[in-house]
Amino acid sequence: MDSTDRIEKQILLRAPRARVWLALANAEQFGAWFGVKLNGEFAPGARVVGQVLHPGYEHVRFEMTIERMEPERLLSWRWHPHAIDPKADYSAEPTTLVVFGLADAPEGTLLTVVESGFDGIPLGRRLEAYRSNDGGWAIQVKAIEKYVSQPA
Amino acid sequence: MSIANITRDASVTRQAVTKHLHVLAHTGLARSSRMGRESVWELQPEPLEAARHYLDGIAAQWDAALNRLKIFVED
Repeated sequence: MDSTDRIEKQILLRAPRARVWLALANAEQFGAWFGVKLNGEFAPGARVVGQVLHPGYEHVRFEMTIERMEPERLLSWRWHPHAIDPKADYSAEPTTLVVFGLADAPEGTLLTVVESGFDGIPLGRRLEAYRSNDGGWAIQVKAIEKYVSQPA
Repeated sequence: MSIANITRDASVTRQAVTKHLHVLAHTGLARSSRMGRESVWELQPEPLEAARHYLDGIAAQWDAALNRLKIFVED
């Protein structure tokens, strides 16, 4: 991955596109796997706010602005990445764009995610993440692993 | 390294080197300190490492989130 401005991920999901779309575009379902409790529904242009659910970050406010919704094909939104400092005001900083794309695959659905705009994130914000969250990333991933392995 | 030392081995003017060093300083990639009458410059790789590390951290968060989505929809 050469670009410093974007992250691209792809995953094959053994589920039909309609099922995957619901998990993405329905705010309650989205929150269940993403780990946030959201107020309101996803709609183009809508600003959706909520609360992070991950252990240790329950105080953190979560906010996103939906851009495009093409049912069973594309969902995109803008947000402030890694906005976990409750004392910080991120509102003046650039957002990144997250684009989910859905395509049929023989075994189900191929989902791609592209998050872009990182070159616009202030250097101070990235340095702060590096210095204070070096352990934080590991803690968060561990918390997520624990969350996932809990009995349903 | 002083600007004179940097310029000696390069085929650019002293002004160009000075200007470039100040751009690097502005973005936190270089730092100068005074030693007598000269400025001595050193590179600071930390911001570059920070940028790469920051992106790696966010990429790891996406991996974890997509795995949770996989478990959620493949039920």
